[in-house]
Amino acid sequence: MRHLPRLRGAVSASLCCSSPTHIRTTAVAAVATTSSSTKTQSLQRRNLSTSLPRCDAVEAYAPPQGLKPPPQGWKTAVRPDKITDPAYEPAQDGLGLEEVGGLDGWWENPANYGTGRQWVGYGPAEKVIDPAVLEVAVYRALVEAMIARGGVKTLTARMFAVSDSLLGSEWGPETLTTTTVQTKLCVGSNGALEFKSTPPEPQLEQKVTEEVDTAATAKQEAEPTEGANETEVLEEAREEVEVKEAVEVQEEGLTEGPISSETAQALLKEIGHEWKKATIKDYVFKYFVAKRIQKLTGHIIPDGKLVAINTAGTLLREVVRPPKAKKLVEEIENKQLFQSLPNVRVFPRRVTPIDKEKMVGRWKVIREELERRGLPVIGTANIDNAIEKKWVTGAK
Amino acid sequence: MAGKGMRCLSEAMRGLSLGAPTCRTVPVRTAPLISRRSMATEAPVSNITRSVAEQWTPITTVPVTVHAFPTLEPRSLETYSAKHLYLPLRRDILHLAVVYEGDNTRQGTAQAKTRWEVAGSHRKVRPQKGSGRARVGTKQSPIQRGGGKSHGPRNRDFGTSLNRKVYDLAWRTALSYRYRRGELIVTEDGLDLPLPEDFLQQAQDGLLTRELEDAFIQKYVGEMLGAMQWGKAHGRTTFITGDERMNLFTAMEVAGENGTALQLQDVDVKDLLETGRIVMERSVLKEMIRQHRSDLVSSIVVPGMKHLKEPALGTVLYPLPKSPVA
Repeated sequence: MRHLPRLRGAVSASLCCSSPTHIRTTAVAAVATTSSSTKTQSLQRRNLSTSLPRCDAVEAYAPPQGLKPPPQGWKTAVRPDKITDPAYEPAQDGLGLEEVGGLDGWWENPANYGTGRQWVGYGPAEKVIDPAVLEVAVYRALVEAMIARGGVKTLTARMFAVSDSLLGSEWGPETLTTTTVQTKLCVGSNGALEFKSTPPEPQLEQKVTEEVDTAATAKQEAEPTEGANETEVLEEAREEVEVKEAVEVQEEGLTEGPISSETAQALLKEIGHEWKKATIKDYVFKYFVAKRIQKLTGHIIPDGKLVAINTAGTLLREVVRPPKAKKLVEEIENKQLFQSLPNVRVFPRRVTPIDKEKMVGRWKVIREELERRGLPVIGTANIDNAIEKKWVTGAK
Repeated sequence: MAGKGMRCLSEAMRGLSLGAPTCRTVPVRTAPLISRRSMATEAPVSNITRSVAEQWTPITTVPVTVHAFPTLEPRSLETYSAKHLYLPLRRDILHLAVVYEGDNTRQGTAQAKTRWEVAGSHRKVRPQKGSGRARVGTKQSPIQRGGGKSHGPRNRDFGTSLNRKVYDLAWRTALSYRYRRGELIVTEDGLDLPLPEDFLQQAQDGLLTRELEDAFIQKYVGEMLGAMQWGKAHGRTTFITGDERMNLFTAMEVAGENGTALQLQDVDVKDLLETGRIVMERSVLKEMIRQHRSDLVSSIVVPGMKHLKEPALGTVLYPLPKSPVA
């Protein structure tokens, strides 16, 4: 690590995280190797905290699932140069040995490694890349972000919880997407995004009202005591809403994945293009939209890009734009360049002399002839450069 | 020639004449109408001038989303001044800072013995004359094998200096560069790597050897960062925390091919410019900017003069503290 004396300063106390109250006891995992030959290694221990992580992302904590430790009593063979027994004779093959093999690649076996250790992010398991679905998702995100923004603006705990749960909910049944998309957005007098009919469509309003009621019920059931933490109440309300949503979805028997491309194409005809001209400037609203888009599509819009996004159309373009190709050949393939030129071919790598010989069908003959003469097919084998070169150049 | 001489003479005579202007000016030759450019080829008037109605409002604040780790769920929103996180890229200043850090990092402990430091007798090796060989004074001579080194490396300080305000500007420029490219990810406080509970339990029970532990962590972290597109294939990741987090630092030490973990006090401008992305806690970002804003704050107070107000550090926009009142 580099240290600059001028810049080294004590880290303020606010940086050092205090131990949370909800975690279990912290203990350093003392891992002693059972190897008989690695006494020195047994003294080396990994610093591992067995406590839960000191962040709120506890839900991402992988539950124990099928991690299989190696059989105990495992011994590592003593190195031949360390053996003092004069009668020792090293084995020539593994036939007479009691056990062979090591623990290399122990975790490569799925039976040992267990399952369900994949990273679960905030959003669908796979990123949505279909442009039509993405456009519907952006539109839906805008509608729901407007509702959530309205809820937050009222500054009530109930609406706050509802807005939070609304932003964090999954795609839900397809009817929900249809209802949301049927809510028309337009450009207001000041260029900002607005609902065409105020208040928004009755069905959507009903959905939000239901969620408000759910949150209110949850809050009443929680019966906050005098000392109860406000955030705890919110958490409980949010959980209640989520549970109810999950139950509703199960009852309807519909999946919560993204809508199909065909459905999206049909919905796009209803959406139109007017909303794309609307300006988006409020940072909180942008945050809501970005969060919703991330949940629906898996696309993370970085803050640096959000600053430059000022209209709904720019936002859509940012989400739909495919990632930049890493190689020139990929770019050429994507853009279908040089298709009409008969004398232009594109190769993914350098065309070597061997490639050229292969193209004319001569390489097979050359290889056979080289092998027949006992010459190296590729490279120079052990044949050095001419010794005279060394004399001339004086190189060592 | 004669014609030229006559023209010069006539010009000189005209200059001396009483009717000539006192201040000589370059005569403007007006072209005849025929040779003038046709208006059809004239470029159209550009419309790059702004309308007065559209007032230019520069960006003064930029948003910073605080994520949960490792789900990357957006949890809250803060704003920082554009002077903190939206500075234009100045490669020259970044270069100054990186060179300055490199200079100050050099150990400067290389040292070779001179002829005066090489041990041994200073007796004359052989007589001055008569041996048929070259004259030799002492065996410590630089031309002798085992002798001293002339002009060899000596202990010295390679450190250079850089104005503090320039260095601080470089620091925020590096952060701004990352921010603009979307490579600055801010997480909630308490950034740590959650290792699976069953693995930690088995490690604590001593069921796994150190090699097995390392192999597991390497596989687990590699798969996790790979799925997040933060791993080796995507340029590695630098995690910056306020203090040492056991699991994160151990994991990044074991799976170093996928990234690195640093404490705030160990971070330099160069670290901010390396790897594919920088992941840091929100308090680390705040502290980092607080330590490097000497060009924005002034400690000089002149009575009667308006004190320059420094930009706010991390104003919370959402959720507002204590905003949801039932």
